[in-house]
Amino acid sequence: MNNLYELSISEASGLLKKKELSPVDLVASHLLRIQETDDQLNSFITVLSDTSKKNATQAEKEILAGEWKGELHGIPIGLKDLYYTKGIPTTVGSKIYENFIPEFNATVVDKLSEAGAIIIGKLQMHEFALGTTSHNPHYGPARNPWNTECVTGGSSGGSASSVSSGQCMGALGSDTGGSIRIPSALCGIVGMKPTFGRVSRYGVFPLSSSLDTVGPMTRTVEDNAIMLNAIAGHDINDSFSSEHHLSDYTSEIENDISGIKIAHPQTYFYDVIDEEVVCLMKKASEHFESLGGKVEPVEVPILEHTLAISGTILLTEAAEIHSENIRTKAELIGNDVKSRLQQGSLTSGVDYVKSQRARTIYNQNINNLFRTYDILISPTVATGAPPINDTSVEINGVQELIAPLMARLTRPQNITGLPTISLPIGFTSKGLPVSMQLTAPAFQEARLYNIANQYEKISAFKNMLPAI
Amino acid sequence: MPHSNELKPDMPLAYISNLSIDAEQWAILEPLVQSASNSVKMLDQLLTVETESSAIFALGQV
Repeated sequence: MNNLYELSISEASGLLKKKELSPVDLVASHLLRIQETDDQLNSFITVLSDTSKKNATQAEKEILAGEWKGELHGIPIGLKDLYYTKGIPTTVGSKIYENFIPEFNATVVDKLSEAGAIIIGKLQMHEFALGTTSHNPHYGPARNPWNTECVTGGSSGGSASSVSSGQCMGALGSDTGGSIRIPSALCGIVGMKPTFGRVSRYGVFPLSSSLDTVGPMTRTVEDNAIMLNAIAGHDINDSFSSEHHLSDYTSEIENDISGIKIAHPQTYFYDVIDEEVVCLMKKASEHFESLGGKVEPVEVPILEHTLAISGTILLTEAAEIHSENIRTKAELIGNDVKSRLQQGSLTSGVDYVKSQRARTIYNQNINNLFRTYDILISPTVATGAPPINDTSVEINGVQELIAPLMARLTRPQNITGLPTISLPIGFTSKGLPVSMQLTAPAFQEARLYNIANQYEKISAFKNMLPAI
Repeated sequence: MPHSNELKPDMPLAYISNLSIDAEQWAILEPLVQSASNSVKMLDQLLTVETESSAIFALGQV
């Protein structure tokens, strides 16, 4: 190991606990990495150099005094810039909130701090989290560490590029239509959208009240489980927060997965998709078979209507949240996001209710599938990361618009609220990462981590770092 | 059958301008809104089935 920033959280944590590594050195290594690479990547909106150094010194004292707080103690973590941080600007990726300084921390920020994590900075994102590229008109585009001319995906683009490149060891994103999973997939890392209600959203700037979830982004499955352990749990300040019992998300990751039954939906997920992604998904299925799993093709009723359902709900709820902004400060909003908010403002109440009713029926169909199968697998994004300035990409001879294409395969899982993890399965011929997503019944994140970890162990795509 | 509050081409100008939509922006938005609305209309058949199922279930409880 040449550089400390190459360590995974679990590796660094083991060394920190044994006092063989100093949190001061670990944080310094990541701050240097940010200094060396962020001109190329543009991952950060705010770097908290002084605060993180001070907190690392404090963590070192605590660990040396035998007060080790757990696996995140002394670990540098980044936050998408929509998490409220007391006294620290929280821009939501926008011009409108560029001077917004929260007076309190989001619940999950407090939980990370209590676990001893060092918050190293606030990360780039698509404006208001309402987009899939992180091409931000106010703060510039987030750039993909595997090819800086390509998008990171969004909306948690800075979270993905910073973790992927070793600027931090883990980050929090948010996922309303795929905003954790899309950038995780395009940047070659692991992203978890937990069950709706599993992680508190208090102090997280909202986009869509019935779809928003928050979750961790890391370079390994185990690291992801470690982060979810720290942030999951009921919160009386979030009215959608669940009281469902908590699991130790690392406890099952080494379990044998032979005998698992895996549903592999065909129609819709493979209607508009790059042939290279199809081939990699076929290999992923074969890997599961080699682990003793049984992968079966299935058809999911109503899947073809999920874009209409999620689009109507998401844009209408976003328009409600930003109703004042769109009426009084529209000139400060980027054109793409402004159009989406205006479109949501024009949705009829009838269409919104129809979409919510159809959502219930779709969810029943998915839950019926889980009577037969343990998990459901699908590709996360239909292609590798497209170039930043392109608006369309060719898929099997047809030009497809990038913005809707990015979220096409991730939005169905937000409708259901079910836990879904995205993890790398290979690279395109251009050297860009490709991922699959695994979906489980509600609150079965521990099972997902188990299956994803067993897959990761036989794949060559664990803790990858691009040459940047 | 059209719904009473669905989008109409003659939507009051005052309402649209309140959303910071000028004529140029409206030209971009109108087909998008119409297309989204048409996609939701495709759900009608599905929702009818659900309504009928619910009605049958309710009758069974009588």
